[in-house]
Amino acid sequence: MTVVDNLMVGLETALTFQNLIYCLIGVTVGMVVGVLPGIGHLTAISLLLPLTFYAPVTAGLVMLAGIYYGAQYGGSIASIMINMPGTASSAVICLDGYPMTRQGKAGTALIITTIASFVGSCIAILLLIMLSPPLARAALSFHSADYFSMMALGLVAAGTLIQGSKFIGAASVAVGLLLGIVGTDVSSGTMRFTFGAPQLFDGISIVVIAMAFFGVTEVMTSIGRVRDHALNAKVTLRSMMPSRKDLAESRFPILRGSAVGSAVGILPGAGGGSMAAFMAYAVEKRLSRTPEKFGNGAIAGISAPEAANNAAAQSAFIPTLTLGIPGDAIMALILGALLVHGITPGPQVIADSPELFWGLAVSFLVGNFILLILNIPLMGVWVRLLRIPPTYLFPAITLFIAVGVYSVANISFDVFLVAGLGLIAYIMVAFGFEPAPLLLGYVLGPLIEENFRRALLISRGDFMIFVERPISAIFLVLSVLLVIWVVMGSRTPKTETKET
Amino acid sequence: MPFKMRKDLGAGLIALAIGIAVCAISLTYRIGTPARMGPGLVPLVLGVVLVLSGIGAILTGLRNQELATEMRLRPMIMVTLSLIVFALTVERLGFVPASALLIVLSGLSESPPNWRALAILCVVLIPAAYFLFIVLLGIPAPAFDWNVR
Repeated sequence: MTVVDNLMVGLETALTFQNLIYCLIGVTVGMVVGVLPGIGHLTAISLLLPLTFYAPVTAGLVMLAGIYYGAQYGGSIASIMINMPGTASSAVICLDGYPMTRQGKAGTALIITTIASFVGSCIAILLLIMLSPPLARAALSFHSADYFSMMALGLVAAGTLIQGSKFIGAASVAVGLLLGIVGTDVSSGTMRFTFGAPQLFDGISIVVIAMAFFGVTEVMTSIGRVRDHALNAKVTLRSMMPSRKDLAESRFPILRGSAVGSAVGILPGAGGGSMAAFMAYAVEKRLSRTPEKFGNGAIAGISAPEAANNAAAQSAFIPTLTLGIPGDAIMALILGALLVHGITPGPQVIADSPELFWGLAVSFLVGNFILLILNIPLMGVWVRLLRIPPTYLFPAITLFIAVGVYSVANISFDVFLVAGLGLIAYIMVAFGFEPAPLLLGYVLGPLIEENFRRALLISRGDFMIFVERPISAIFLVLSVLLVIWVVMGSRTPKTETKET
Repeated sequence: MPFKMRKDLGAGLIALAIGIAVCAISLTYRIGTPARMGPGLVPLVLGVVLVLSGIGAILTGLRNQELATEMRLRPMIMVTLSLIVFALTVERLGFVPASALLIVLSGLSESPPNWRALAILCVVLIPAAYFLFIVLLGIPAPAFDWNVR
């Protein structure tokens, strides 16, 4: 099939009434949670995850993905208006976005970030469309040993490319993997870590894990703490008209940001949007002829990172959908949603369910157009969302957690489980455990164990199979290099870029 | 009522404790050989990883004085309690009372609680949630019930 045929399949799927509605719901919810500081897109996706089980798989994924990239659009609004990032990946936008607001240029900043988001997303979507089929075809020849090593690389990256202690990063991944193998062991039928509770025989639902680590912990952290912020600037449509100079100054930063973001998004475990945004900011500052302007309302300081975090949000789908390897916690949730619908993620997805893959890809384009249309005339509405008092937010989220978890299997046991795990999660996160690598471990746990066992079964217990197969060997060497690099005390890219 | 503890030290102790427990439980499963792996091998390896990384974190924690993020006792207790009460009541008293209890209990995380906001939430949110989850998605939970055994 040619690209055109594929896109036709995608268009037919994405433009059905049902999928359009789910796309609209997704991006709107994404915008709202993106704008509101205190709930991130991870929390929002975790909260809405159970709803997708009631929808067909494509529609459900279209909605989840919409929340993700919608939140990237919305996140910068809070950064610009009240100097508080709506989502983690828009933290850099505060640096130059808020100074622009104080100079009375809030409208310009908002429109430039909207344009940058749109361009960055579109470039990454094109990359997704071009790159995924050949990548999936190449991955079809992967054996279980290769899969094991590829997932191992993803987990090593997730555990080491964090800011805190690498020991705790490794422990986070291990705890996640263990949570993933709770339940009946597929090959022997043994019940593992179920403590005799029949409700655990099928394992812990991804909804319970996600709600505990991204819902309950968020509520406990923020309830009664996020205060109202002074919202001074008014945004009118007229003030949003960018001048020709602003557009000219943002053109190349947007393109460079899109490139940086697309590249970072593809790397597994690299941390997605926030790292892409920081790197794009650092690149612009280094290239700029007037680096002293950065931090005082430089337009390149908002356009490049904004293009980058949106590009990363889209290109992160490339490894997730073609290899079945999620790059960050959100992709792990998307993968988890696929697994719940009985679709094994991997290179066969594009060939076996073309309407799912191409429908999703085209829905990204549709969703970005919707966001562009939603954003420009409705900017005033989004800005006004910042006036919602946070007091109303967190009891509502708690109710959503309880009902959402209950809805998965209609048993109260899961709600008890989320209460207990949530409390443990809050304590663990306070001590520096990382929820994102943990979730990655949870999703990959059963898959990695299965491939590990199968590889050793084929090789009759010979561990050399992991080194003898060239693809597997490359991934293992990369993992080892990554560990050496981190152990040698070189700073992670995250901290490096933050200092510049 | 916030309380603080040493970060790496605490995390290391948590990892060590989980690791030891996991190792002990894994040893009760069949370990097997690499060619024919039993269900205990992978958990055992992960348990060892946890023990080692726990020891590593404890050793760094002896030097690193950095404190853990402040934990807030009141939200910890109230949010956990609100979820437990919901789980206990949703099938016994029904969806509406369970939700109302959850909203009020989680709202008590704030001091002083904003009673007006909680009342508005109960009036607006519960019908909305009832419509979404029970009418639209068909979750089998009654609005009101009385099965106290």
